[in-house]
Amino acid sequence: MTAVRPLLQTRNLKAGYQGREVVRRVDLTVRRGEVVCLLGPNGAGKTTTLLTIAGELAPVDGIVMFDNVPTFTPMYQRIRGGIGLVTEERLVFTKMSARDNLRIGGGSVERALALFPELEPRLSVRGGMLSGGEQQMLALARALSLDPKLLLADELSLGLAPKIVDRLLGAVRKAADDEGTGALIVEQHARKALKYADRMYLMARGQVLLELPADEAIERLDEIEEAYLRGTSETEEDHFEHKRRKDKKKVWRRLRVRERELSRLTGRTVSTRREQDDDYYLEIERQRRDRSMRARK
Amino acid sequence: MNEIIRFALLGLGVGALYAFGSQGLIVVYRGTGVLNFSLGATAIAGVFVQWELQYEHGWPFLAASAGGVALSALLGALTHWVIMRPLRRASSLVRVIATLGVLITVQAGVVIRYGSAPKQVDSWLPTDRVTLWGEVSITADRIILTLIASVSALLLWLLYRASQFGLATEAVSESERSASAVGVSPNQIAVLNWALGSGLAAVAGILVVPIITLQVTSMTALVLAALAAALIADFRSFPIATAAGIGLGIGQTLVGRFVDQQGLGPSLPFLVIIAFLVFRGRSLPLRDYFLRELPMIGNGRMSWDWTIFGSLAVIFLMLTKSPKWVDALTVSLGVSIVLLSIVVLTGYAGQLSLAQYSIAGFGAWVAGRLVAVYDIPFLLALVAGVVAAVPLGLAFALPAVRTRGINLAIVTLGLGTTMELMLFRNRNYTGGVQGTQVGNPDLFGFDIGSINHPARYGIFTLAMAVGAVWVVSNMRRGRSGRRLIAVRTNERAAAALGIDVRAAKLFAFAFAAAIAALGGIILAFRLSSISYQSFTSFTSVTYVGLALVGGVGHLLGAFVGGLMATAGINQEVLESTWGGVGRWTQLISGIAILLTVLAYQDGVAAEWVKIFRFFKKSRKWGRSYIIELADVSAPETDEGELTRVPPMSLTMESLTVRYGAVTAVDGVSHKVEPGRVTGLIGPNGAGKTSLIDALSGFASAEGRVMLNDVDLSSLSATKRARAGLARSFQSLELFEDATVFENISVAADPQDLTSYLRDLVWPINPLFPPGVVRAIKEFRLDEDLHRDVKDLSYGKRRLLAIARAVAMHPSVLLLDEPAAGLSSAESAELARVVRRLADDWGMAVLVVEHDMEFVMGVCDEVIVLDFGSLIASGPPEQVQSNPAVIAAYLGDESDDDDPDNAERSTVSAIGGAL
Repeated sequence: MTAVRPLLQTRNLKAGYQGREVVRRVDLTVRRGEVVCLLGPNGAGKTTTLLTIAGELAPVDGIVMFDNVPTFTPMYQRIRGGIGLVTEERLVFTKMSARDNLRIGGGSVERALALFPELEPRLSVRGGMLSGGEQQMLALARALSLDPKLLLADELSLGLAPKIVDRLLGAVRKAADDEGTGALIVEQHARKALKYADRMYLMARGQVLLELPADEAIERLDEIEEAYLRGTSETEEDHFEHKRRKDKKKVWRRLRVRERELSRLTGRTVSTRREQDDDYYLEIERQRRDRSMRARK
Repeated sequence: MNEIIRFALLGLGVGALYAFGSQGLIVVYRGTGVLNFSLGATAIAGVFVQWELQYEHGWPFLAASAGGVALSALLGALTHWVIMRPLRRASSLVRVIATLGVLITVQAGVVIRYGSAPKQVDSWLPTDRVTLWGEVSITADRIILTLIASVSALLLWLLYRASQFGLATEAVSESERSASAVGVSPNQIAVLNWALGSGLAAVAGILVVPIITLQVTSMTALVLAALAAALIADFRSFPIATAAGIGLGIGQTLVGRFVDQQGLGPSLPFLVIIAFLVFRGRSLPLRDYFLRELPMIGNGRMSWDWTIFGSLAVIFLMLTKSPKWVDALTVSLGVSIVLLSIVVLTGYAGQLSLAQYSIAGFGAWVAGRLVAVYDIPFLLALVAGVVAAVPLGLAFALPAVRTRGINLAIVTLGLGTTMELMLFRNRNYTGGVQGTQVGNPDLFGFDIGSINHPARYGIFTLAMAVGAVWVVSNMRRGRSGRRLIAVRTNERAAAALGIDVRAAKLFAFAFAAAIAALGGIILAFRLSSISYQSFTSFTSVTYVGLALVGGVGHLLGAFVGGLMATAGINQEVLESTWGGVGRWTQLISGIAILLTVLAYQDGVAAEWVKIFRFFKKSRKWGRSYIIELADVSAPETDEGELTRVPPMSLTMESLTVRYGAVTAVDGVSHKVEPGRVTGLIGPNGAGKTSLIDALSGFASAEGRVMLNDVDLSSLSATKRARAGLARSFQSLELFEDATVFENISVAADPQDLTSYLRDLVWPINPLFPPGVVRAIKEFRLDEDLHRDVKDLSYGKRRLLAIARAVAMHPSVLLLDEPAAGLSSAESAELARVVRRLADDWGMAVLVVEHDMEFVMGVCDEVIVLDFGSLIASGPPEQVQSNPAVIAAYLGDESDDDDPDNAERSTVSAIGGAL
């Protein structure tokens, strides 16, 4: 039992895009001064989870709590309330100067420069003309200059040179150590991210499979990579599974009607439904559909 | 010289109004990306409130003005909250129409309260004459107005440049998502900008009204002209817009004074718009990203039993009802024909034109003048009018080749307005004060004049309407219809299938112009004396609204819209049930447009069609909806040989693609052989898609691309596709609203131009050649031909995208990530098919893919890109163990302090790090 209240806690979070559930039963915790990284293969639902926590996506079910307070506000209010967000698209306004980019959230330019002095000579350059690394630094500097209680970072390192990734992750680590900022970072490069993290969650197929302290995770990384991180997770198959279940439900409903009819006629309770016969019923459903198509012809 | 200066100074008044108007437009646009047609109406509402408070309640001027401005600002904010916010994901067409609904509603409200008679208002600004020098003098108010406009521009410039609010607006206008990610509420910013813009326009109105007289519609027209100034300023810069507005005002008075051409002065701003958009070469400032969402479209089938039933019902009504009703029916049908042209142009071809009624007017003008001056028979004049509209339609299409979306709408609006001001309002061309006298139209001596025989004219109109629907329905179901839909959904994909996008657009405009002209002529010849002043460009805009409310993608939608036309059936029904409704009709129709747009963005007809289809599917009526492959395939001959494609190899020689300073592809040379599958791999951002774009003609590149010995380098994407180079897109780019059958037939259709004409009377459903049939079977799409693309599963859609490219029977096939998002079973199946394309069909295939299992399984040869240059090529096994390739994939991991890592994870790194 920790004495400190967790900064961020999700309970039984379900999320997705437009009716399609991508993430199920996700319980995450981030405490003060802690860097937590969220690992997983492509399509595991890491970004979805993060965006749901940030408030861009509304959760399908479950609760996101900041400081033990369930939160339902839109994204911009969460940002104002002390959440920092950095995403792979770099959130830099291309037509504004770097200085304006730093000012827009209401943070101080000096603080941002104190974090990333290398931005100083580039202040009057338009955001679109900065290099990828500078853009990401700018976004991170802006987020950190607002002194967030919690930092959410999505694929901070995407397409950046290793040195810059070290610089960025180092800044996150420093903020966590000095200011007590909690950080939840989503990363593809497991090894690199784990060097700067305290703890990791492993996600695959929309669920959290594993929670480990970072040092232990580094030790077992090969094993973990072998088991989970290879390739993409097959959410598409999940999707078909979903459809199959829906079809099954339909078949069962029809069978139930028939049973009711039978029991009305015979006065006996009849059950024709059995779990193990699913495939059989699905086949029937498919054939029925085919037949009705042909019949129309 | 003095005279010139005097008139130039006179123009300052209107110039100031243009300046203010453009400032208001820009404020709203910058904040929300909406082109606000309702600005004039909200402003005039504020002006009227100010007038009432000052003159009827005796408030002092400033207090009354504050009240008026506050009301306008409130109306602006409400417009955003109630209308625009729920529509924020709607198509830009819907949003424009929504502001139009606001305009009609607010204007109607103002008329109900204050009447439509013009009122003279005393100027609050001093109107003493100030002598500048010599004989040049001017009233003081013009100078003060100019000053106020300039100061306001300066303040706005400062506001948007230096304040936090300005920064936030800038951020929101770049990306709403990013803005809210830095704690800016896009909604709040939008409301503030709406309020600011509307308030500003009200200030302008209050100050300028003494010059232009207080009347409901005066501001609306002027705000349309202010578009020109806003456009010159790219919808961004306030100082430029102000200068341009004042310049336009001056130019307008000068032209009016010195050029003896009626209507040239007022149409100057519109001429400027046209010139500006047609001749400016670079990309346009307006935000186009929400253009991606398009209104739903129907399949263009006409149900003959319902058509006959409906026609008989209409004929029955016409023969039994009083002339008043017959006339209302005739008007509704005539307007429906004009709306049908909007269905073709905006619904099917996706080109937003706000000039269809002006074109209708032109047709009517040609026909009317021919009858009145040369006394030729009505039917001949009708044909002449329709034919004459075709070149005009083509002229209107010229800007469409270069501009899209809202920009196109503005140009067409400009063209329509110019025509209205210079032609329709010019008495020299339209038969003097009493209008063009055409007498009673007759058909081969049989009098069908609507004065004496309303029912005959009504039935004639009905016949024409049914004929027009038949032609449009033919067009929609034929080759040309499929091409239009391809162009509407995605010009890139259309070009990749070998469709000439320009020709398709020109056809759509010309065809729509002919139909509109037919409607215009029928509407005009209802009366024996035609007054062309009713063909206003504003009506054009309203008609687009009606078409949208009715259902812009459906044949039926035109008729539903036609019911709602002024003096049409709905109005007649309202008036006969409730006598005093006359003054409320405008308000009711405005609110009706708003409600319909909010509830059914695809229009009323779309809802009906959905319900109807549901019944058709659930009962066993849907026979005609199933498409059996056997019915659409051409009789088979010797299958094996016919499906083989002419063998061609694709050669690239030092191909280089640059985007600005970034070199995406750097001097790549390679040859793709027929009958072989070449894999193209590389880390994210290595330039793989850029290479495919360059090969297929979508990105401009240096170096050479050769197909056998034909140099493709200077050919367009369309021409390359026709030469035998097909591609698929990573993002699929399917034509979502069409069926699988249509998607494939677009690709399988021969790209001839004659079908544009033949389709009108005889649409040919294609019989698929054996090659296409085999492709359909190969990709297992034979049972899904009748399905809409949006109902397909993800895997099927991927397959369809490839099948569509294969249906072109290309010699070289470029596949961009065909297996992305497929399950392992599906991707294995796909690998088999791709293999067969090379082995059995003899295609040269180039596959970009991340799934290593797929690449290693299917490819004869693999080439590897990193930072745009070719770092390795050869058989898969060889490439796999190439140290340079491993290094490129490991990327930043290679500097890791774990040296044995690199060797150990050769294969897994390629699989995992991608």
